[in-house]
Amino acid sequence: MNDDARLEQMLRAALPPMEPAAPSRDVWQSIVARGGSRRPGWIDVAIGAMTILALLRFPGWLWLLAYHL
Amino acid sequence: MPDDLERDLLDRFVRGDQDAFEAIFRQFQVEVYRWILRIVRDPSAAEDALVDAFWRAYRGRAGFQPSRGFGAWMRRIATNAALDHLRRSRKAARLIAGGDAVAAPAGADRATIESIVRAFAALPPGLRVVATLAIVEERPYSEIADALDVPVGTVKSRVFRAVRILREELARQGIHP
Repeated sequence: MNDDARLEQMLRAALPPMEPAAPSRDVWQSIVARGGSRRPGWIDVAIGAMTILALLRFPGWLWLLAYHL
Repeated sequence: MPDDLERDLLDRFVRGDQDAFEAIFRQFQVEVYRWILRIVRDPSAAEDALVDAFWRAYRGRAGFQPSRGFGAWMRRIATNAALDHLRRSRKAARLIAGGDAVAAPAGADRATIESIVRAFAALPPGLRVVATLAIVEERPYSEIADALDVPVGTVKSRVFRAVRILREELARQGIHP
């Protein structure tokens, strides 16, 4: 056995291959929370709806809104 | 990794359909987790990297071509997520240097085992990933090259460099394999 093979054998003895395993928990919600989902929340929908209603009622506010965007 | 996902599911995933994304996640999560676990060797860290990998996949879905395999694409993303975890944990390890005790396998010289593990952990993350997959997990070079998106020759040279660094580090500690 050459030096490299012996080193590799020692390495495998020190760090055995990992056993096949599955995640201990369902991480889907973590992915969604992390931003995997871009589905808007109810607050976003409510603010959008109120903005549209306000602009329909007071069209002149459009310029004020455009100025702030 | 299974690569027989229906074209329609992949198309919907690329368009941002969350149900399609979840279906793909359910199908691939275990394989991706096992791949990451091989690299990071810590179940808790592997779960964090799993979240990171699928989040990156969703974020980068526009760059995925459904005509090509999802498994290979996902494995590259997972490898990068695992690599980033190793880089972060290496910084943390420096802060708590001298930390963990290492469990020695039965019959092995504990001091030698600890030296090997420490020398291995001190490898640059890019070399450590390749050495872990090639030497410890004994994965084919072609598979590693595909996961890292590099030529097979690059994998071979990284394994060679990793072994040389390990040998030098162990020699400094008086261990001559």
